[in-house]
Amino acid sequence: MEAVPAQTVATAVPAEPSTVAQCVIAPSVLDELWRSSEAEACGLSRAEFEQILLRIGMAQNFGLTAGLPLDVTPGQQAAFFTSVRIADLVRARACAGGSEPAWERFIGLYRQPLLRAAIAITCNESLGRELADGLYAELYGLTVREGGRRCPLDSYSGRGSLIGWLRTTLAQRHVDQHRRTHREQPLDEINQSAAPIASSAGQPDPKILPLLASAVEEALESHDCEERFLLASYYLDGHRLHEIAAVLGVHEATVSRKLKRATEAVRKRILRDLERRGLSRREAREALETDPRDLTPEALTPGLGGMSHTGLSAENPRRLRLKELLQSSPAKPFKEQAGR
Amino acid sequence: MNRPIQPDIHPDADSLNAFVERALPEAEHGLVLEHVAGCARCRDVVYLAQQIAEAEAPPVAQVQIGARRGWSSPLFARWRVAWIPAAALAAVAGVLIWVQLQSARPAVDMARVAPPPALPAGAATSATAAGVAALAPSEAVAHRPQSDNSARKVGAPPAPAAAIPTPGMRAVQRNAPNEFQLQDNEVRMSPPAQPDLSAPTAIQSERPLANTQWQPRQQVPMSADRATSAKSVQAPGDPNMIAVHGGVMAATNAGPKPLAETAAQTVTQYEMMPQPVDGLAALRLTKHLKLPSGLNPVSSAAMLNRLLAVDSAGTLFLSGDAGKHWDAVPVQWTGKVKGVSAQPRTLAAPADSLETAAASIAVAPSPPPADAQSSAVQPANIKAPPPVPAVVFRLVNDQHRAWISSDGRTWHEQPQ
Repeated sequence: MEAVPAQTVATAVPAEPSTVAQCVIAPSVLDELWRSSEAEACGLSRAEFEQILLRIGMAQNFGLTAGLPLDVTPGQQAAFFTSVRIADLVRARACAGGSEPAWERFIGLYRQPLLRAAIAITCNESLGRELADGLYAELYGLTVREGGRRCPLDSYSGRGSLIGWLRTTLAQRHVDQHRRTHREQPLDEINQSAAPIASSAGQPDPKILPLLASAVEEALESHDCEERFLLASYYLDGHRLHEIAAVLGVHEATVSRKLKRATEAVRKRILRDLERRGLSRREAREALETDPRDLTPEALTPGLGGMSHTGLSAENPRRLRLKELLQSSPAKPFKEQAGR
Repeated sequence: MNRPIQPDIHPDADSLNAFVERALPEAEHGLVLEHVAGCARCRDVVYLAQQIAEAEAPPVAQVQIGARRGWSSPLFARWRVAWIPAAALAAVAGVLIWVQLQSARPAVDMARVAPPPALPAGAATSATAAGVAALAPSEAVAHRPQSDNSARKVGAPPAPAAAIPTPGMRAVQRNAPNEFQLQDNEVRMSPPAQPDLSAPTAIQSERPLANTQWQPRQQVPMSADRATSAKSVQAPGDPNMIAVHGGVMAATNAGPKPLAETAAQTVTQYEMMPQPVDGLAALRLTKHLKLPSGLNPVSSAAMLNRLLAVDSAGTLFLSGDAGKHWDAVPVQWTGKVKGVSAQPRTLAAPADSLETAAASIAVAPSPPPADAQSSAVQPANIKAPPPVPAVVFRLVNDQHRAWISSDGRTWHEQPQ
């Protein structure tokens, strides 16, 4: 294993306000956490360990919604640290600090799972190895920014598992890579996929399009974030009910029931808005058959729940699935698109 | 401060991972969900991380399912649906069997509770002859129902006059699983006709028992008292089988019957006599344990299907339909009834009805003949004594005075 660039924990952990120096971890809590965290095996000293705990506690206000960190009692500190994965946190911070023992343990624990996750994400072994190696390079702190070594492990706060954080980081890199390169799709494929939809769509009435766009925007904004997440996941992303249920931590039937209720509410809201804007009932129903590609992206993107910062444009094929939202037909999930 | 969510900035991997693992506080979870609902990029990240996490998770449930063996294995999985009706069918069958056993229990109890009778001397002598005739070792083995028809014929070569049953013979008698016996129902429902002891009957030798309906004994083994009474008798005579059908029991005009055969009939009749049951065991014959007074029974007695029960208040109840309906017996005694009992059976002629059976129970047996052989020669000398008042039931009051009754309804004080 190549040598890890030397870096102290003090520089690896982002600097926090001066309150860190004023706040202390209760000795009893610190002793208990020191024994259970394997910090010594990762090459950390007791002082470095305490600094890590203090910075994490201060960053999250020891789990309190109100009050100052200086007023935290030892009991509250203990309660907060029981919700933090101290062992993973110590391991990550020790690796970010360049500890050789910590990296040995890190590689022994996470190298193979990380490689498997990368291959599963990319659906390709070579791409997966490339993705995993790229992340390893970042984790080693080979990236130097503003004169200092930056290690992504510094952003790990211990709220979730370290392996979950690694998988999410891999997914982020893969999604970003895909979103950067999906426009390189050959034109014939775009034409083939777009042609049937375009042919099946009726000719929209130009005067209806702005009305429909505003009605869709208002209808989507009238729902809470969970319903919009359901609608977007099912109709825009094409995820299945059990996938949505797994993310939300509810039963599949609950997702189905909520989705049906939200869809009906959106339809009624759009029809009512269109009628309120002067269309007849029949015209409003016919307006729902409009190909969403005819709606301007400027009109659609606010209604889709703040998708403007996601880089969507009129050419974004994902926007085409708005038609599926309006016509209740699912689409292919993102993973299938990414695998192509 | 670590601010994972800011305008125009995606949540970092730490927040998204905590969102996937549902480790975020509620407020921060709402913020991330608000962002993810409108951000396709972060939704993709979340779904990808979730799917990989599910794929990496050890399939605990599948491992457990795969490790199952035996009846829960997939080989028998398709039969799981059939287990429910099969279990229900087995339960129904079990209930039916239990009901059948419960309904058959009274007859068994009657035979079991009855004390072993003391055979009158004369009858015992007569029975001895018949028993010996029936219990010749070689013939007893030969008379199993699996044997040929010749075994069912009466009139095999006579046994020695003073033949004593050997242990081997007794073993055959006790252990014979297929001993011939009349069915219990026949015993209860149709007692054999009262034989005329004075009129000699005879079973013709070499005459097949065409009208005899033999039933192999399969369920109830030979009772000990019956075996004892059978082995205790000895007399010369035909080694015929003692089990005789009621039709054959009727007097025939085929000539004088040897005393041994008459005694054999007597033993058979003794087997077929109604058995009294006393005490609370009598109430097991019926499921209606509650008397009309609502009090618990303290004493009871049964003869055939006639039941008597005394409740704790001293009221006597009579049932003629095996306990389904009860009638209070008018008080014909003094004091408070403390107990009721049925008289044990005695060796006498069978009866056609309860009254005749009660009368036959009270009939004093004829004095034993001095010589069995002479009895066989002169069967006409045997005459039944005149019947005396029948006693079937007996009650005792709190002053230890007794009343007797032949039908359970009319009572007479028993002389001291």
